[in-house]
Amino acid sequence: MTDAASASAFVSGSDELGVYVRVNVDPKVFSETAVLKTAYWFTDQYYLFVANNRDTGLLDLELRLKQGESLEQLKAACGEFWNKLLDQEVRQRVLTETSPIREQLLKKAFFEARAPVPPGTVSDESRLPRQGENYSDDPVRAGRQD
Amino acid sequence: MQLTRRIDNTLYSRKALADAREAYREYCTVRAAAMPDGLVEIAVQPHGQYESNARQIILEFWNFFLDTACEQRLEAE
Repeated sequence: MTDAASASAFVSGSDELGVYVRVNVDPKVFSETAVLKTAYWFTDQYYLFVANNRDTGLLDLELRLKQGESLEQLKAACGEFWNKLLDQEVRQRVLTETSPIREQLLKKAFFEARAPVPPGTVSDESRLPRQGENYSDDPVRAGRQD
Repeated sequence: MQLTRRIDNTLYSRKALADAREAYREYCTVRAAAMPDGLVEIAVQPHGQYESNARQIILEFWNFFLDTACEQRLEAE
């Protein structure tokens, strides 16, 4: 067992399922959503287990190789994990910061796409277009500016 | 081989457990027991005929469980 020396360090060990490494993520720095999104991507290549450590208040993540017992490969996976986690956290923060702008842009885009309906015209959807008809044949002229 | 782990339902939901249990029913037996501290103890034991692939089955089960929990959680957000 090796003790964690820095925030991005890890602990390695082995049990009946083979070699593993464990990293501790501080949820005050990295959101649970970012951790879960990163973990989701890593399950393609590694075996993962996530646990809330009630004693430390940290999230414990355990990584194992799908094949083989190489500690070096697991160390590299840890480095990759921290990089991806940071990337995901930045994405989450940008997403949160820009969500009001995105919503406004979407509203504007959809609002402008609405065609003006002639005053007094209410479609009851009783007439559906026949084969070969297009918007210019619409008797209520929906979608036409002229 | 049997693996027992304790989980927190805030990370691994009950629905994800039900889905994972169903998906791996053919390969392993999954037992869940509520602990007095609020955690849930999960024991995964591959069926006898799969004993030679026990590691893979157990860890694949946990990956599936995590993936399903993540998907459900992120869809809800």
